[in-house]
Amino acid sequence: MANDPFSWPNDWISFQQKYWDALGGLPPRKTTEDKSPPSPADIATNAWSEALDSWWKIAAPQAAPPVQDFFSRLIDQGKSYFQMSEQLNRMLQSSAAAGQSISQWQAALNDALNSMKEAFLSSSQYNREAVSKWMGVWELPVDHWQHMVSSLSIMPGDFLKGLNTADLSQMTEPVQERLDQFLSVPGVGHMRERQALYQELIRLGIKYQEALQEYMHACNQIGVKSIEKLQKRFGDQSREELKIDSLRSLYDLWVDCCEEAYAEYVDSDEYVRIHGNLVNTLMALKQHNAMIVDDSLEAMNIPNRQEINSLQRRFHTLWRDSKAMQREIETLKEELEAKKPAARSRKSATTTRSAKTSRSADE
Amino acid sequence: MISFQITPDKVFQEMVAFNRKLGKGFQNLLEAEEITTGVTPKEIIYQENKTILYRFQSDTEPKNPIPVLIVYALVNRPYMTDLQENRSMVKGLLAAGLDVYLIDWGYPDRTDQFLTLDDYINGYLDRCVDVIRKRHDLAKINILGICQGGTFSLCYTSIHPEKVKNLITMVTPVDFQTPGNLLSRWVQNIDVDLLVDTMGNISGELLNWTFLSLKPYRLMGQKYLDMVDALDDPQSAKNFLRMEKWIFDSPDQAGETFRQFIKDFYQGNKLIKGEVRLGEQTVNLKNITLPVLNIYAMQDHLVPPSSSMALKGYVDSADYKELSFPGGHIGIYVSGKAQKTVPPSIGDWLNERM
Repeated sequence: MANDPFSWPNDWISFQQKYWDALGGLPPRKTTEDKSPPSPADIATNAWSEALDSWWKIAAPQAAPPVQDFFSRLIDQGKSYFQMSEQLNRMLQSSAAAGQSISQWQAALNDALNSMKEAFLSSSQYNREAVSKWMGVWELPVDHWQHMVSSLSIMPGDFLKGLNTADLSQMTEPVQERLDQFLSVPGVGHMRERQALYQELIRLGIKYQEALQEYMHACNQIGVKSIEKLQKRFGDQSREELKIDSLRSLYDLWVDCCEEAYAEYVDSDEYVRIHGNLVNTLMALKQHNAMIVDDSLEAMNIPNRQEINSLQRRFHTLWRDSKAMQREIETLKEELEAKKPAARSRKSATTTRSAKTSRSADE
Repeated sequence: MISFQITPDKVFQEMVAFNRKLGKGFQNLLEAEEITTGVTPKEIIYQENKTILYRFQSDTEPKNPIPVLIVYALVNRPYMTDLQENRSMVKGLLAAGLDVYLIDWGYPDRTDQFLTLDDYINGYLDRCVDVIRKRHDLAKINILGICQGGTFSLCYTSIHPEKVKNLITMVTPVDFQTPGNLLSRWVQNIDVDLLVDTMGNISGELLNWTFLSLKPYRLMGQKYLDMVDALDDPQSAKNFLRMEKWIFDSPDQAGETFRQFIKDFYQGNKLIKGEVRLGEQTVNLKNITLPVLNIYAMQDHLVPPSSSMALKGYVDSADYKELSFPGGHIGIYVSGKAQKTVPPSIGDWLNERM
């Protein structure tokens, strides 16, 4: 691919042509005689989406930040779409290679969907990552949560995402035991309070991690339900005929199924509890962390958040009081102004009366 | 039954076309000028801290002598009402002969974390209303509240009915616990005190996450693929970027205001129970006896129509009217259909009640 991002469409398309030819060896576009079949390693990688990623790394600096932000989101979804197309195409190719008619897609697709379901239900991170290469859209809720957490943290991404409590407890029982021991050690001496603070921090970290795992598990359940809905749509004879004649229509159907499954689940009491727990455990962890930071700042004789908050609260009270007084003064002024003409007219009436009196007295 | 007619060849052609559009779209975006929002000229009338009161300028003299004040939500930015030339509710209201003012609450930062609902409603909003009343030498003005701004307007009108002539609420939550209100369901188990005490202000990112989580696959996935088609055309690319800018342009929420809004309105549903306290006063919707126009969107996924329609049962207005719009929470300001129907209807309704 050329380094000039503006020439990318041509390079890109020629790359795709080569890639697909290599992958499928499609007769109509075969340009060389010595085309060798794709190796398993070629098939295992998502070359198309990876190439898009590489191109974007070169092209992104050309764009202004708002365009970059937006296009990054678009590239993310584009990659997911490419992955889906690659996987689907492989499936279609293998059906063709096996001498099956393309119309036998349904059985092949069903097998693929069943594998996805198994991966969703698996506790292995590896299996779930494998699923994400197939219709990766299912990952969006978790992905979005992690972006959000990242924006609230000094740590890049959600650093606890990779930790799987289920795996951890199964695989590293001794580690868990040590952790439990550490957390149960009573603090003594002048560092007692500090030790308790850090023990609590770890406890809260574990609680958040468990809540996150539960949320991710819930999202996996939604993934399973989505697949079941997709399978049902494929097999539902009672529905009016739905034509899937493009990758995009398949993608749209998949999104419909995901949204439907999601909407049903997120309105449940179980999800409301999981969602609340996710937010609450994160906040408890952050609050405790902030307290430790405040302690450290105090030790360094630097104003901390608690102190600044107190100042802001006092300032806010003063601001409210001054606004109330300002309003009172304005009201009084207005009342005074309103009285002035009446007072003036009273005064002039009095003056006229006394003038008349004096005139008549003169007369 | 599904008829499956995908072949490897078709997939290849589709992906090539997709990539062409992606490349063209990127070029269009690189060449696009700066994305502007808020197209109608306006002047600053009053400013206090981060709150700004604008008055929109019109080529013609307003037919209606009573100005209308748009009270927008604290969530997202008010330029949604004046997004672009052909998608501007403000332009529609001016064309209907109205004199239009708008409150922009700005972007609260840590210095604003102790601002309360009382500060916003009996403070900033009331002072803006007073400024307009004074400028026009009027006892009462018209108020148009949008979304959360509509809830604010209801609270305001119930406490200061002597300052409001007619009230319009648009996609406004009233009963916060009607069926289908996912936002309300989700916040029931959130420890709001812990949230606010920890965060100070509530970050726009957290709100975005919540709103986009309502329909994650459509709003974070499918939408971007749809846009690859639209990016082919420079004008569509710009329009899309404008919307995208608005969606992610989420100000942080002043902590104390957020605390009360979630606890009293979403968790306690106190607005309809007459139990919301703002400073020393209690909000009683029965105090609202003036004419009310309640506009809601039938496909609103943020504020279900049932939540807005509940208003009818809680106000004491003899002149209450509803207008349902066949669209969503955003479409009601920006769709082509909305431009033709919503602002003219508001104009007609207000002009009949001068």
